[in-house]
Amino acid sequence: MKRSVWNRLFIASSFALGLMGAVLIWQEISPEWMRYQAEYYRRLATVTQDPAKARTPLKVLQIYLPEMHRTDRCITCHTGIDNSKMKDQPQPFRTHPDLGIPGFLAAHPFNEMGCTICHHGQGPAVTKRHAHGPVPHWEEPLLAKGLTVGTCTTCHQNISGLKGAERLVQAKALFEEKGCIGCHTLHGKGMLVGPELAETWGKSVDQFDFRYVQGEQTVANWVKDHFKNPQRVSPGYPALGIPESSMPNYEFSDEQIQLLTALVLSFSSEEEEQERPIPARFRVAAGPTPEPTYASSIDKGRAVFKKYGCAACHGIEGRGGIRNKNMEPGEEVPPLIYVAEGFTKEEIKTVIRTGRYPARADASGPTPPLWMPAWKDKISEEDIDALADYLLSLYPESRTARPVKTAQG
Amino acid sequence: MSKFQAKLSDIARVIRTSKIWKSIFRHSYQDTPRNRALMVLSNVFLHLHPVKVRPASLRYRYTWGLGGLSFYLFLSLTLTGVLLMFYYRPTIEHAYWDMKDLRFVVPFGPFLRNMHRWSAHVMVLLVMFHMASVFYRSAYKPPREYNWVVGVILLLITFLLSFTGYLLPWDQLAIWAVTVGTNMAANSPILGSEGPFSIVTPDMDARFILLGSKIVGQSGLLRFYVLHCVFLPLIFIILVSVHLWRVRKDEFSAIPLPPEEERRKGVLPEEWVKKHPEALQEKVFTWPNLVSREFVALLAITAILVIWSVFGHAPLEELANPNKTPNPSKAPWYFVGLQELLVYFDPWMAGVVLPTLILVGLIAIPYLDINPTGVGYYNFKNRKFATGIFTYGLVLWFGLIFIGYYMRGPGWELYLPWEKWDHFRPTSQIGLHNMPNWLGLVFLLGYGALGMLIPKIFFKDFYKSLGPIKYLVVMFLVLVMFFVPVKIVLRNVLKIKYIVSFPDFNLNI
Repeated sequence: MKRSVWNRLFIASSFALGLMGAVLIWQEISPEWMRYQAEYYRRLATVTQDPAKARTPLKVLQIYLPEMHRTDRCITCHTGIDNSKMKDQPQPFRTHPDLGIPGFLAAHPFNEMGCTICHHGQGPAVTKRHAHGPVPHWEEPLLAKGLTVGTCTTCHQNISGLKGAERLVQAKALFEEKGCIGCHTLHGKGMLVGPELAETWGKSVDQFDFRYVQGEQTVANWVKDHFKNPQRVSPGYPALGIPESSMPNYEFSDEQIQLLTALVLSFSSEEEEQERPIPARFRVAAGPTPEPTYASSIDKGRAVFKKYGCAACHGIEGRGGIRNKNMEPGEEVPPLIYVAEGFTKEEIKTVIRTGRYPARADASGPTPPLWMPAWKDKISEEDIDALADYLLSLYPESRTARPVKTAQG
Repeated sequence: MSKFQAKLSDIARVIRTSKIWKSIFRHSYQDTPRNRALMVLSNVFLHLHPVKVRPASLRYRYTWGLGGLSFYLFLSLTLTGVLLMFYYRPTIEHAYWDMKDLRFVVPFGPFLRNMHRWSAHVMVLLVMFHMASVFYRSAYKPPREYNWVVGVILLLITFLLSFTGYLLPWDQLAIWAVTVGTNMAANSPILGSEGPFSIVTPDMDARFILLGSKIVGQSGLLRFYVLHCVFLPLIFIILVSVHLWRVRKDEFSAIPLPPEEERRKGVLPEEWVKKHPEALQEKVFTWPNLVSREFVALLAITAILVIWSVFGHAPLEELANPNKTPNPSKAPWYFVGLQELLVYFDPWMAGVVLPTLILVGLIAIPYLDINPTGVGYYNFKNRKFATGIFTYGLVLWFGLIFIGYYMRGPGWELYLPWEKWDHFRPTSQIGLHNMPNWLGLVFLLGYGALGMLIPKIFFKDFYKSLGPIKYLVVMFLVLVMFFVPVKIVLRNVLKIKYIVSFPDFNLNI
């Protein structure tokens, strides 16, 4: 090689090194957060009419919470969250709102709890992209506005009557009304036709199939889209005999989907809690729930029907209407209001205890995705008895002439 | 000369004649042959070089500077590594969050970490290329056999240095890559609890020695940290000193090439040199001829790594979680080839026996290759067998790495490099069956016997020149190398999982 080529290589390398050195120094002396913090102090100086405030030295600010393995640097840019004078400023300079709840701010001291415990997001990061996300390999991006309520349960074990958590209470009512644990388990309670719900949020993004999900690849988005149309998000592999999701499409409204997504977020598994422990002193224990009393066995049975999620498949008050592909008869889970026609009380109790698989309408077609699970270890004998009484009571009074025994249970 | 300049040169003279200056700089900087020699002789670092070298050594297309650059990368890795140690705590509570701090708040932290990470990858690659270049220019032949052995051990230590460093960020990538690696140790024959003929329990086997535990946890992190920062660098420094010292003692291997017309006639450089001993005597000063070239090469690779480190961030995945296995979990790229072999072989073969044979085979090369041709220049023509087998080995090694790294998705399923992974695709590994053991034994014995006999019958000279013992060793290693594609075909085409299988002894081939 000619001498001149070495010279050129020398010059090019030196130039590249010098340039990169300049880039590095530039990156070091003008990080993104500095612009926000400088702007914050300028605004603070205007609001307080104290020009000295504008000259506050800029630095990375953080809330260090070793017990929770968290370092929240959000306040580096959101410097004014605890300064009540910044109420009317735009983000990121604005004061943290008190949500209209007296005592909310005093009960949630930022310097002890940090930010990510409620809002999620990447605490250690000091760039907007990494802090808010979603970025690869940080699986808890900043929660969207309607979902933050789901994290109240991190500390508040009982949300009924909790101010600010009304939407979560509403979501829970919807959860019970639809009877989700008829098919899902929640902390092991319920039936494993579908997956355990407490583990949803602790799963990694990899464990979800995002091929049919619109928008960003976050757990929240998957859950939302799956509520919208379970069969579109989880179509299975028909060619390989892997069935589509057996979850019925309840045709939820957008608002209901938002509520239920926040609710799913509020469930957490034990493993998840071990990873990011919450100190016991933050926990607000649930008060004792009074043992409910019922006027009659039928009333008790109604509560049992609700508690174990029978409505998920059999419809509210047993009126039926949930589709079950390829099921005999009528591709529908049977309504229960006519059970009195075909079953004695003992027969009803046996079906509840042992469960049953539905017959196929087309014998060569796929197995119907929903089936009746065996409840004998989950519901006490006493409750099953009350449930049978309730089911028998559903028979519409208007129907006087009882037809011949044909109904399927 | 202005007054000012006169003043300056006065000051310079005072400084240069002072006792302090003269105690440090033993000679002047004037460009004289004497000073060129002294420049190298009186400098402990440059003294790695001889004072004069053959002009052939200056050809960059001879060594490509690979050995020197590898050593330079080791030094620069030491520097960035020591700086990183100031910010890093090897505990499972802190390690990952210290990485996040480096990324976001430590001054020049991202640059430091990126530089360390990328330099490590490049060093592993350059050390491998260095070995290949030494092989192709026969620089391992007498008198340099022993230095080749030292070099192979240095290659192993480079792998281990990189592998132990891989765990330290304590993210998912780290613990699962190391889990893959250390599980192979648990499958060692005899000394691994899950290997064939095991004599140990999981709490005292080879994996336990590495990790201080059955799984990758706190004790493993500490062990890897100490190995990475203290033990392995120390061994590396000792061995690399021996390596460089031997290079110095045995001289650079490069010999002058004959003129173009002679070469076209097929005159080999070593024959030509014998006829022209004066060509071999011609030497030039190392300073500045060689030193300046080395300096520019260092500068160039530094520039490449710095650009890469400014714009490319070292990977950092989620916090390590022993309960959540990513699918797929891949070993570091340089071990992915061995991991790919796990498809075809049980872990004791892919993770222990084959790597050991690779190392032993590499170490044995200078003692098995008795062909004296080709020292000091690239020669493929007169050593077809040696370069052919070595090239086949390299292609196999890098080919398996490529397949494992770019073409394996969830469930270690085959994907094209640009294809999107499908975590829910069902397994393609169905319908596999074992050969009956009697047939398998016949097959293995037949493969070995025919492999040994056929070359002996058809290439009589080859057998004669090697003698029976070397012939047996060479053919054994060659047959093992070709056993890999044999198993690939058997599994993928004939759907045969094992040729012989003795589950009672964990012995499957």
